[in-house]
This record gives sequence, structure tokens and C-alpha cells, in this order.
Amino acid sequence: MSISIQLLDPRMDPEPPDWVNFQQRQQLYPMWSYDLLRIASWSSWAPVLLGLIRRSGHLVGAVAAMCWRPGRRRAFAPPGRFPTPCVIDVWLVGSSGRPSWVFRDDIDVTGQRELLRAFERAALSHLGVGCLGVVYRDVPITSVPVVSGRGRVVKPVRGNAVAALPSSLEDWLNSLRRTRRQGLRKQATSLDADPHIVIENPAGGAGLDGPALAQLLKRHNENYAERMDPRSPVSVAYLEAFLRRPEVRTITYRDRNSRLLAFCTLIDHAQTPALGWWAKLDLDQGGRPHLYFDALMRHVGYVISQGRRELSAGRGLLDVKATLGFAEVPLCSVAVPRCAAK
Amino acid sequence: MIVDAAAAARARMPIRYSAPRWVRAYRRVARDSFRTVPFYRERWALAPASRVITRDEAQRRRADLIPLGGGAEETDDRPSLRVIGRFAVAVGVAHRRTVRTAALVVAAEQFADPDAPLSPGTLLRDPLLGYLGVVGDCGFWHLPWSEVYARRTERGIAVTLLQQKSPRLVDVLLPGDGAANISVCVRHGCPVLTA
Repeated sequence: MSISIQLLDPRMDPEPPDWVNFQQRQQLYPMWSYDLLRIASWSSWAPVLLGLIRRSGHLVGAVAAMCWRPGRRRAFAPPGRFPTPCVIDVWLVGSSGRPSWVFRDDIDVTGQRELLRAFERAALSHLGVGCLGVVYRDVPITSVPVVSGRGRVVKPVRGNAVAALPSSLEDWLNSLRRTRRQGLRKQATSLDADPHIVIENPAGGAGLDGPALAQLLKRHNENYAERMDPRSPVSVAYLEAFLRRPEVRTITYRDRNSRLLAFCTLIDHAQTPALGWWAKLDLDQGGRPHLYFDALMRHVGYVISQGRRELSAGRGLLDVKATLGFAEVPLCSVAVPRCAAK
Repeated sequence: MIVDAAAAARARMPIRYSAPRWVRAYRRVARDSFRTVPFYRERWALAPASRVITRDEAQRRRADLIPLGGGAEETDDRPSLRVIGRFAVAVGVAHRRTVRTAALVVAAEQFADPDAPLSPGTLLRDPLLGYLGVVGDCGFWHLPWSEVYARRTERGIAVTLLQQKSPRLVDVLLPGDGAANISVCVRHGCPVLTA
């Protein structure tokens, strides 16, 4: 069976005709929508490289990566070109705790390994000698054999928080420690009764102030940014397009002057819904404490009401999430120097 | 009409007004903005039809008008006007130069207003864009062309600050009903705003 790799630059290349079908069949998260990939690619200093893997002409897998240039970023990549030198970072904006590759269900680990090797070779060849290598982020321990090998560096990183949910919110609350349970209930009651806080959950992102949300998210992320994090801040255009997606739900907290205090997004996925971005105003700037717990409880309530039994909550605040019934799924990062990609 | 030589040199413009160089300076700024400023990157790439922006939009997206390399979010009241003609005017605390003409300052909203005072030396000022023009002895609003580029669009006059690095302001619409135009002053040979 012949393997072919199609490398796409979503900024310039049109959407492949079989992409939407693949996306629906594999129930991909909305970040994989070609429109969002295009916006992410234009508005980031690290343009997206989308690799479509075909076997005998049939689309069997996809890899989304961003190509960033080491060092300080002062400019976006020129249209139609990727930065040089660059690193292929297999990571998709908004995708925390999940690898940024996807394969058809009938492809086993050996098959995935073979196809990813083919992608690596094609991508390195496409980007030329200026491409230093490939980095796979948020790889679950069970998937490490797919990308590990000789000359490849595997490093454990913070895990992803995943909770198995019961059939009702009350059961979920009862499964928590007593102090946590009481705190959550008390806080939900006091927030609902607080006339100084407006909690909104608009459908389809209607009425959300994209620039204000993006600004809050940027400031929030700056507080927690890891050293040498190559990720570009989430742009207003991307955030607005993302929040408009029907499967994305957003809870916002505002004060009486309509100032945004916090927001939290949820991707309502058929199998594993996932918490998306969370950002809050610092307390010394007028923010309110404990809003994260309230947002999480409301999202958990929604997910349970939709009959889902699992929720992924991303990689941060694992100790806090543990008190809310989330368990850590170990993750690794795998670096593949150019010389090891064979 | 003479402009500040230092300002002209910074904008890579000759001391005498040159229309092609003026356009080239604007294109240079626009190109650099697309390359380095998040707002213009996403706006021009994703919605190329709506190239000009309103002042309200520029205010709302101020954080995204800073180039990737960093810069100020607030505009200082820098001397964006140094048109020096018969009515010598130098504005700006940064240069600590004396305003030799007792200038009357009017808001940008008024430049197309037929009742607006047009006495020579009157300055046109916008809170976001800074000083944009001065009335010459010919009675027209003169643009400080080494620092401000203006062009007529379907939605009105769009202004670009050629020397302000951050926040970067490119193709910002001036208020007005769209009837204003850009022409060249026959007496001074430099660009003027006409209502």
C-alpha cells in the first residue's frame, strides 16, 4: 500500500475536499477545522503546517504542527513561506493534553509509527536544511512508542487532568472531599445571589467581546508562561472564531461595570468534552477569588446533563484539579533531532 | 513650505515634498505593519476588503497595535506636526520647542466643518492620531507629510502615521462624511486636506 503525504500551508492552500469528512468521521475537536487552522496560521508567528497522510489514496491520518523560529520573535513569517531556521512543533493551538496527530481507528501502533515517520521525512524535506527537527508535545505515555526511537529524547511533562463523571452533579459533588464540596456549594449560592457579578453563558459566543477576552487571556498566560514557550498569544480573530463554534460554550464573569473578571471555555465533544481556556483578572486589579471552581462546577454540570461521562481539564493546576475528582494522565514531550528522523 | 529636516530624514523623505516618495513611505509602513503588528496581520490577511479602520476600533484593539518586538501602548503627545511656513509652528513637549505662533487647536471632527475657524496657524488635532494639520496662509489644511500620510478611500480620508512605531496606526479613518479630499496646494506645493 502506497503512502503519500500532503503538506498544506492553511494560509495559502485551499481546504482539501476529503478533510471535512475525515474531521467528522474522527470526531475531531473544533481546533482542527480548516478555517480555524487558517486563522491560527495567519495570526501566529509560527505558521501551521498540516500534514495529511494517505494510504492508497485514502486519508488515514493527519498531523498539525506549527513551525517556529528559535530566538526572539519580531516578525510574522512571510506569506507562503515558513521561517528559517525552524522547528516543527507538533502542537495545535488550544489543544492541551492531547497529541496533535490523529489516525483512523483501524491503524495500530506500528502503522501509526510508520506513517508518522513518513510525515517527518516529508516535512523535513519540504522545509529544507534549515529545519532543525520535530518536537511532539503532550504525548500520552501509551503513545510514546509511536514517536520514540534511537536518537530521540523523551521527557516527562506535566500530565493532563481527566475525570470520570457520574450520572448527576449531586453525585459528583458527593464524591468530593467534604470541605471542597461545601465550599463549592456555598460559593455557587453566594455568586448567584451577588448583584455585583453577572454570570453569562451565551450560546454560540453571541455578544462576547473578543478583544477583551483575548487581552485577559494574554495577561493571564503571561503569568504562567513557561520559559522558552514558543507559542504565540491567542489572537483576537482566532478567539472570536473559536468562540462562535456551536460546540464551544463560554462562561463569563463580569462586574456591574461590565468589566470582564474571568472566563472559561468548554468544548462540548461527543466523547470527551474538554475544558478550554481559562483566564481571570488578578485580585490586585479587582478580580474575584475562587471563580475557577465555580466555572468548573458549572461546566461539569453541563457535561453531565448532556450524558457525557468524561471530562478533560488540561495540564495546569493538577493539585487543585485532584481535589475536584480529576486524575492525572501522564504525558511526555518527544524531541526528534533532524539526524534522528529517518 | 519647509518641514523639519530631521523628521524628513527619519521618514526617508526629501526636504521638498515628493508625491511618489510620500506613497513609498506609506507602503513601507504598511508592509512593515503587516509583517510585525498582530492587528494588521489578522485584519489584512483575513479580511482584505476592509483595509481601513475606525478610530474606535483602533482604540479597542490598542494592545494589538504594538509590534511583536514590543513598544508603547499609549501614544505620547509627540511632535507629529512640524510644518513650518510663514506661520512657524512646532508642537510637542518632547522637543521642548517653542510654539512661535499662538495656535488655535481644533478637533479632527471639525476639519470638514465649513464653520470651523480657518485662520492661519490653526492646528488640527486628534486625540488618537496627534497633530494632523495646520492651516497655511493659503487657507488650506496642510499635512505634515513627512510624518502623516493621508489618502482618500471609499469611506473617507484614511490617515497613516509614518514615524510612530507603536502603537502603529495605519489607514485610520478621519471623521467626516467622506466628502473631503487630498490635493496639492498650488502655492506651497505640498499635500492639503480639502473639505
